[in-house]
Amino acid sequence: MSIGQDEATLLSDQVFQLNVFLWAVEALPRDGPIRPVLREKGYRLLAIERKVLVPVSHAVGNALQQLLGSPDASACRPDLWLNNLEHPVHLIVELKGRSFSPKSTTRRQAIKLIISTLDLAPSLGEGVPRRGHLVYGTASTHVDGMAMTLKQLADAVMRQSVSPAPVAVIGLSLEEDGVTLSSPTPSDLPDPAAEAIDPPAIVLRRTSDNDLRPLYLIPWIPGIEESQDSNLNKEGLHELTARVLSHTQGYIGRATISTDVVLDGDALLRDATFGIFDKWKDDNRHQFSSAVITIVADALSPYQKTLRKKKRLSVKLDSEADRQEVIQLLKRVDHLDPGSILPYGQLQLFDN
Amino acid sequence: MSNSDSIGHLPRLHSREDYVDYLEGLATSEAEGRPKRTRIKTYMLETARSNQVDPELDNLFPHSVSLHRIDDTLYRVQDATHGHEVVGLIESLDVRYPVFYTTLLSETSKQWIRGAVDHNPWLDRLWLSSPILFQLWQEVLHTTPSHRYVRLVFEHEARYEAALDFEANDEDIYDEDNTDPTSDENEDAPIGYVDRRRSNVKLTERISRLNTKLEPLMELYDPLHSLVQLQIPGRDRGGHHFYYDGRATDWSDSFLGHRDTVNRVVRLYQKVTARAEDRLWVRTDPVGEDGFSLTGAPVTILFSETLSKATFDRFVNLGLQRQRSLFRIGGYVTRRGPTKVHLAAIDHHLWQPFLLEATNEHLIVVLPRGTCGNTIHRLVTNVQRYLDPNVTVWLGDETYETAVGESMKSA
Repeated sequence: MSIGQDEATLLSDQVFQLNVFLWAVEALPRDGPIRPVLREKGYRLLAIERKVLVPVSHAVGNALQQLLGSPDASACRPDLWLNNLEHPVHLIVELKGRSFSPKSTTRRQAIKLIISTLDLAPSLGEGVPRRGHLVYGTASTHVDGMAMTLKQLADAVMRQSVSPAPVAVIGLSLEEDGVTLSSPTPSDLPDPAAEAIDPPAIVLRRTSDNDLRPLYLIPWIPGIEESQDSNLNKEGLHELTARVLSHTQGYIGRATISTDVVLDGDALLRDATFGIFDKWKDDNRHQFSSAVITIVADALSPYQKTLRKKKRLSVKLDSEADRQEVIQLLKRVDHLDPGSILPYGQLQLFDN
Repeated sequence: MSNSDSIGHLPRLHSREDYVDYLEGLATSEAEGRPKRTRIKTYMLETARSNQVDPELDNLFPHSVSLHRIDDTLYRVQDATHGHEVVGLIESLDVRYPVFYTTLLSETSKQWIRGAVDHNPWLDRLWLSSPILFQLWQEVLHTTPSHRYVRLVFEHEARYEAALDFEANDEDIYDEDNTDPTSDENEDAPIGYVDRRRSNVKLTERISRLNTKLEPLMELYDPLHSLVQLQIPGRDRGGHHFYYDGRATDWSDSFLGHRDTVNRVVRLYQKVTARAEDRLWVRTDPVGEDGFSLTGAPVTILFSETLSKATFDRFVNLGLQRQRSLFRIGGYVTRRGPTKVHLAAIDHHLWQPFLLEATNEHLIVVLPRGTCGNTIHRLVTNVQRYLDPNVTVWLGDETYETAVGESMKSA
């Protein structure tokens, strides 16, 4: 997103939303540029995309059959799972760019979460019931529609004689002072969450005319290309490319001369994503790992002493001058150039 | 026993006791009224680590340098470029923090350490940031008779401060290796150079007086928040001068006292660095089936005053993008507005990547697991020396000062 571009698009972006929630539970100074409003009320990140087990019972099977056309009880993977240091109820958070209709395909995931969040003990391996609270996060312009949909789905579950989990909606909005979290009905939230965002709480403080985006802990998510704004998707890839390149410089800079540095696409992506790369699907991992090496190999093409083997590039460094030459070539890569970012390497592979 | 030569090489001895006796003799000769040829200089070092490599001490130094083990933790250091003479001793009580003792002449020792460290991704100096030095000052207050003298040196130079009348190419003045262009001694300073804010304040005063006057002075004049040198008084006379870059000189009458003081400082540094790394390293760990946690915390550095856009731009262009910048930080910059950038950063000394958000009001740093904590100490030191002397630093939700203070309790 270029500066000044529609910030409403940003509020609906799932990558932005995910990072806002992650920063909202981060350990930070209270008077800093980012205020961890959920952490201040005791919330901590338990997991990202952790499985929530759908209970297996006659009543649930019947409800799923009636509402979704199948008793399929496969697990859900909500975006975030938050626990609280002083409150027994966990928050299961699912992020959406916009609200959805009770008849849309998204209802499948929502109904399963409504059913399974009520008691999280089976998903945690605990012996006594663990209450959960389902929260959908979305842009504030969509909170009313989202709340209505969730209420209708919860009512539908109840009509099938299955107790639904309590549900609530948290909206991201843009105010004069920054990005806030709020809820149209705070009383629907567990007490600590309600206290955190009622009145609406600024998480990202606006500074001058700057872009509101914080440093992204997760800059890019595979598999959401179709639902994400294309510019934001590209910019996420720019950022990921930049991180891969800085780690590449790290491997070269730390090498003990003389040696062959073996740059491994998997390792570079793992380093650049704090290890999240290992959670990507196999197809994405293979494609991006090769693409990374394509980009690095292209950057180092003027340097003669490289040898590529699939997702690895061996770089021979015989002297300090060699190291400096390789570093300089890496520094020249413009991570903002469409010809240098990760999809380029990916597309080139397919072209070949 | 052979004697040290005019350069300050040590004799080739074979036991710790012999070296201690020799160095104690050096330390006491001045006290006894005899001329002292060379003072003991100490360089506290840190060996870098990475997730993949944990190098041996012997392999950390240039090829010309050989380490000869004297006992479990003491090494005699000989250098082929010095005719295989003994240039000093390395003591490695903590394998991560070796300490180099030398009697080489001051400039020779500095040159030697630069050769060993400056382009070595596995070796760095200890960076005694102002909060660490201030914590040591607090310890001095509690452990030293108040009539003793102490010396504190404060330094700040607004290297990135922008003025409208700067020469277009004045940025070239500010590479790290260039000498001070406006020094009174530098009569060849470029014509057209414009002064900028700089302070170098040395206070040698009785402890009792400084104890009551320092804080009010700091309130009045913010460069006094940037402490770069502290004299820790010796047990009897003189003291030990500790510098921000991990250097210490022995002005006391006892090498053993000097060594003990150095070890206390290293222990504090080790504790605060471990505390910072434990708190800050961002990493993922598996949680349940397929899920993962994301732990760690950022460093937040809040400026005391908002930087002008011109100063911010100079800081980004000169401080964060040049390989030879004072901050030794580079990487891939993404502009996020007139006064905000995101940087996929790389430390040009240890070659360890990290993430940085820089605005005209703050810096936020995210360190991946395995990044040396001294990256933070170095960054804080340089920010206070060159950008803003009165920053507030947070390690996650704990102030840096608190982290240092708590570390001192267990050091």
